[in-house]
Amino acid sequence: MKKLILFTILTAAILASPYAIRIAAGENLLYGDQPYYHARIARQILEGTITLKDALIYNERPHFLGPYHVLLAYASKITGVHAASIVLPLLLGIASFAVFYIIISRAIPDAKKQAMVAVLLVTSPIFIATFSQSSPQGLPILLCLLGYLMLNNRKTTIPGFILLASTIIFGLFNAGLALVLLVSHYTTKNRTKLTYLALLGTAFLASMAYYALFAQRPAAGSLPSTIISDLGGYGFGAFTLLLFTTGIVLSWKKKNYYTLPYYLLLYISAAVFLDIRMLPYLSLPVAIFAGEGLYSISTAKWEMETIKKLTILLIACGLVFSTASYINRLHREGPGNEELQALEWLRQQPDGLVLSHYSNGFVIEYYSQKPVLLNSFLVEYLKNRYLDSEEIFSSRNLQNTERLLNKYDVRYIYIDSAMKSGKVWNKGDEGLLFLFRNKDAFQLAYKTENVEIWVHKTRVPQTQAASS
Amino acid sequence: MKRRVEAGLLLAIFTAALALRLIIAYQAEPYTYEAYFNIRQIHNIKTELLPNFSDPLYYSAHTFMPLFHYLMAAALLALPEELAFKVLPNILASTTVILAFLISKQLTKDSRAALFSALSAGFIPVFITGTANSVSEYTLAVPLMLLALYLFLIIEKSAPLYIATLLALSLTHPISLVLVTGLAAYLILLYVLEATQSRAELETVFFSVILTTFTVFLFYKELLLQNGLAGLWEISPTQNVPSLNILGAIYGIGLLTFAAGLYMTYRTVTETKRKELHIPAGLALAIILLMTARLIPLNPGLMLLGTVFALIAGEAYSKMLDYLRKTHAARHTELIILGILLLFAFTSAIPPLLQKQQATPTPNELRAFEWLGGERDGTAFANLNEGHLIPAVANKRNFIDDRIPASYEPEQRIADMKTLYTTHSQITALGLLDEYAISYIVFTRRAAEERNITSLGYINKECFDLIFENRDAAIYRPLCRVS
Repeated sequence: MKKLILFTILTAAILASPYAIRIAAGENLLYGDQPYYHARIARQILEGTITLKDALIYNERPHFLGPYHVLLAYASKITGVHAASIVLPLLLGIASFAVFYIIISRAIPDAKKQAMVAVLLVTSPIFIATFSQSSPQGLPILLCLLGYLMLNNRKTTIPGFILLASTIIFGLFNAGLALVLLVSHYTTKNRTKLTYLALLGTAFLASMAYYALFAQRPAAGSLPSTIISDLGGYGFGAFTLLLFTTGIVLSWKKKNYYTLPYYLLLYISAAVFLDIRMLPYLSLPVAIFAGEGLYSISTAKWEMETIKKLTILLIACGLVFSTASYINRLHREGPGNEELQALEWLRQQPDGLVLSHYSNGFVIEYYSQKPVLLNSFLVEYLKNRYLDSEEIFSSRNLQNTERLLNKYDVRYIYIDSAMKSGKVWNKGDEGLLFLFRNKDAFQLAYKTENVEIWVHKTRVPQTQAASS
Repeated sequence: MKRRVEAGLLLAIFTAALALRLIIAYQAEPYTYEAYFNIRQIHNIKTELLPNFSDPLYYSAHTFMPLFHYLMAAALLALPEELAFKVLPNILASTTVILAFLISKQLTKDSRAALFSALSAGFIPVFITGTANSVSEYTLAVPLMLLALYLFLIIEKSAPLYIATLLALSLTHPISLVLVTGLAAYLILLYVLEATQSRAELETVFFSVILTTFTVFLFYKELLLQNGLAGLWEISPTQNVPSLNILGAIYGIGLLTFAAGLYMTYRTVTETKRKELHIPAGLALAIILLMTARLIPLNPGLMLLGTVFALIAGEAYSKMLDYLRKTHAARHTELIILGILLLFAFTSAIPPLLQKQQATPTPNELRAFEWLGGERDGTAFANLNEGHLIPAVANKRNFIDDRIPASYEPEQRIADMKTLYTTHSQITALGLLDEYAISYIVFTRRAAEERNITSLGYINKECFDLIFENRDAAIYRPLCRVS
């Protein structure tokens, strides 16, 4: 119990650290892009104004609604939507970790190995990314873990099964995951509960059909650049992956003991390959195998003690470095206070479509209440629109750029410092930045040190005095 | 063989290798164009005590491991610049002779094979021509790699020294990753061939992977982020990187070293039960694979491959002589050895002397850049390979150089550079000069010959002031602007 409390406190501290740093820096707390989308949905649910289509994106698009948004809306009733967007994921993260720790403390007899698995989970960037930001991914993870824990307790088997089955509503992948957990459970327990399996199998097939035919999901990022956090992604640190590889190799001889982690690893890896958004689930089997790797390295008898000690020291430094480096990246993510002020100003301007980098889309929608050309949910059919936006940013041909801007009737162009520092441009005279010199086509309507809002078209809104 | 004779022959090979390097280094007075990047960094470390990864006089940021630069900066405190930059790197590079001897002796237990390996290692054409006059980190990195390899062979006795050497190598150049990949390939080779793996070696290789990964991520994180693995070698789109081909490899490594090394690699992998020889074989296979995947550029790859081939080439010579001694040709052994040495000289020792050296600026070109150093601050336009001279000699900001990472998307700059050399339209030229805020145009005779032109087609007295001229270079200052 003591260890559980200790590790839970550690989890809370790590998940809350980006916010602590932002508080110390006096910056806006809610960072990232997608949390603003979820906050907007929750607010609309609370106000009873939610619709099936999102009107704040060019040409409208169906909302990506889920049970998480309902939960966030209810939490917002108590604390307000901003606070709920911070507190709810933290609570889900702490609860998920606690349940995971209870599961592994029953499955792994060695206390040292339990501790290693727990620490590796809590310090993995993907775990931090999932539970320190408002995201729909956290809730089904908690439900899966809780369902599995209850399933393994005689008194709570049926509620556990119901809980696992309920994760089907989160999508096809979750339906499959529940099936894998159940199959593993009943195979291990040497019982055949055909009724349960038949029910779940039917549900799995039904959800497969529904999602294949009807559901549209946002396009995923690329796997290699996402999976290694040290290379800019949000998956795992390089050293965690090294330990994971070691753990896989060393545990292969004991694979009967690791049946469920191997099942999960195979299933989730295949899912991640198809849809990168399933990456958070991979943190669980990766932590288990990485923990096995670290445990084997630290407890094995080495021929050269000096090399053993240095290896463990380097691994520890590497793990700390990966986690610290990732948290450092998080706290520097936008939007900052300056961006929010700019968007508040934009909200007061006449209606019009806003063009910016797609990663700013949700924040612009939330604060300015204006539609954007693109946001982070880049579904396949938006590919041409995305290419057009890239063309607008990079072209130095005024005619071509105007044609594209008029095609979408873009009124405002929102530019932040990240866009000028490599996200879109590397130098101050590239593409659209060069074309801004043409005062007939563009007017600088708002400017601070890190934000510019340009107006395209002849009608000019009230201007803000430049301040730095 | 008596130790004294062995030592004497080894010293002779070392001296010959060093002499050849110094002859080539002093054949051209200044250094190669690319040396000036390192020269600037070394002077910066000498004055500021820290490397400058974001030099404001360079268009792009550059990441590099600074240990070599610190060593040279320390040497500058005690030695004159010429000794520090021309002699010291060549002494370091020549130590590959001694290290190759030690490694080969440890692998084969045969002094004769070891001496042949030392000879091969001292005369790798691509290594000599690529580093004799270019103040190159490879002059430290390659010997450190060999030292680490030697210490790996005797790891039970030398663990602390191995760790220190590997750390030094990791802080000198990313070829530490090549060494570690080679050692991992060695373990895989043992596993595949069902040979016994030493526990100490397994632990050492694992530690080596951890250490090099740690240092590479510490220094190169941003570069890896933007450019992937190729970014480690700063394989820039501004470089013309040829692909691996057999003739190029033979010419770069030397015919005998190449043939003997390739033969021994093949024999080691397919036939021999001697586990020790699998280490250089594994390293050779790893280098070939990395070169084929274009994760190492051609010349550094050939340098490393040649060095590794040299380690096992000695064994081939030794075996050949043993075989000949059993045949009727036994009475001509001395003649055969002489023949081999002559063939070696013609294919490995003489080609570096005759080969077109890496381009170096002429004294007149250098004078032009030095003169430019006295002018007002600004951006100077020059040819791609002259890019390093602008910050290092003229103390001005450069327009382009051959180390711009791919993440800076220099393709537009390359195209604009070509336009500025070939266009006859003054409007076009002035537009580009204005866009890049270029204050000086350095037009060298070499740049003109490269493009088969005699002058810049848009230059006239009204819009361009000729502020400096000598036999090899002219410097113009634009006077007009495009509104």
